[in-house]
Amino acid sequence: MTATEERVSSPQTAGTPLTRRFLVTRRRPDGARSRVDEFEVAVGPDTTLLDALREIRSHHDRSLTLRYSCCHASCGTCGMRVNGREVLACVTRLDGLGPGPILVEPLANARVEHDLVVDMRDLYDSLEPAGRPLIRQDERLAGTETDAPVLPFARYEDCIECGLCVSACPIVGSDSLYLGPAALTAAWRTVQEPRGADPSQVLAWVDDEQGCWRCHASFECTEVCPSGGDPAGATMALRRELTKRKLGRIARRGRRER
Amino acid sequence: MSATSRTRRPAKSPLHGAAGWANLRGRHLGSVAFLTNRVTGLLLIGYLYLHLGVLYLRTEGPGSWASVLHLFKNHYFLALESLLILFILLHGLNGLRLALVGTGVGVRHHKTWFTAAMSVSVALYVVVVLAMFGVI
Repeated sequence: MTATEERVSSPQTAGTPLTRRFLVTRRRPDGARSRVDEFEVAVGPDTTLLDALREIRSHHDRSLTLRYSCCHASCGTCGMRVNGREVLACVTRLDGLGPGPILVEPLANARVEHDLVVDMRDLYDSLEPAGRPLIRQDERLAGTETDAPVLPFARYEDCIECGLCVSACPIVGSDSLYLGPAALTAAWRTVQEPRGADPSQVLAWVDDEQGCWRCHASFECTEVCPSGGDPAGATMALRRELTKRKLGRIARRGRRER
Repeated sequence: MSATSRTRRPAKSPLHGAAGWANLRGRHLGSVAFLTNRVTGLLLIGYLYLHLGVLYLRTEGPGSWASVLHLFKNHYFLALESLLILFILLHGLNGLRLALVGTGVGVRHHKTWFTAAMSVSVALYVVVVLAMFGVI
């Protein structure tokens, strides 16, 4: 397989097929330098990025490594970067990517295992100290009524742990110790609804220069979240809560001293 | 739940780290705001050292200082100085936005805050430039 190999596949969809050019970043686990392979794939109006990558894998290069499972934005396993932007491949239609070649890269800010597959253990481990309270909305019992107070937190229940937010964060990209948006969102979720956990312990965990105060408010995490979550909003809410508690402590100390 | 329980991603070189936050490919308005604040901040730090260097010339005697003052009146220098005003406005007003958003105020409207901050900065900059060059 050369770096610029080009092959054209047979059309997979009805109607007039369109050929799109894909530039796929390849990296082997042996530490060799990454390269970009070029493929041309016939696509239809509803073809998703995942469809095209599976087509490449099936008919062009069996060694292309990618990860996917549910194909409907529920499992969060097919996260990658397309033309520099984090997406879930299974729900990214090619006609929404504009004309021109499509550059496909693995998620940033994570170790690349092979081609488009990255090591997700850092992300999962970062959620552990927050008590890992993320429960998906579809895991609620069918037919039960939603408690009104739960609604504000529903967006965090939808976190699919895909890691797009961590990949998009410019601070994670420059500071390997920063907790990152996924962990901070989980922390805020625990503060909001502790379910037996100690919120003050979680707040102490995020209250330092590598915690919620490290965020520089670029809001990229919120922009790329495929579940409509708001990790940046959660981070700012943690800051607001910490500021409120600190000001409260100062006020109480002032009253005692008077 | 201490800092030692945090996961550590592979450490990156400072250059690689800077490239991480400076890369705007595929990014959104929030990153533009983030980069604007960093770049103007660095430029203002650079200006501070330049300012100290110029002030040092006062110790070289009246002749040296007079030539510096002559330079200050040059139109090219005034144009550069007007950029300093622009950087102060951009950094200051964007910083005010960050201070508000960063403590949970108006988080959902952060893009509007940024657009407003940039618009006010440019409007004030135009007024300052017109005043500097004696138009108003």
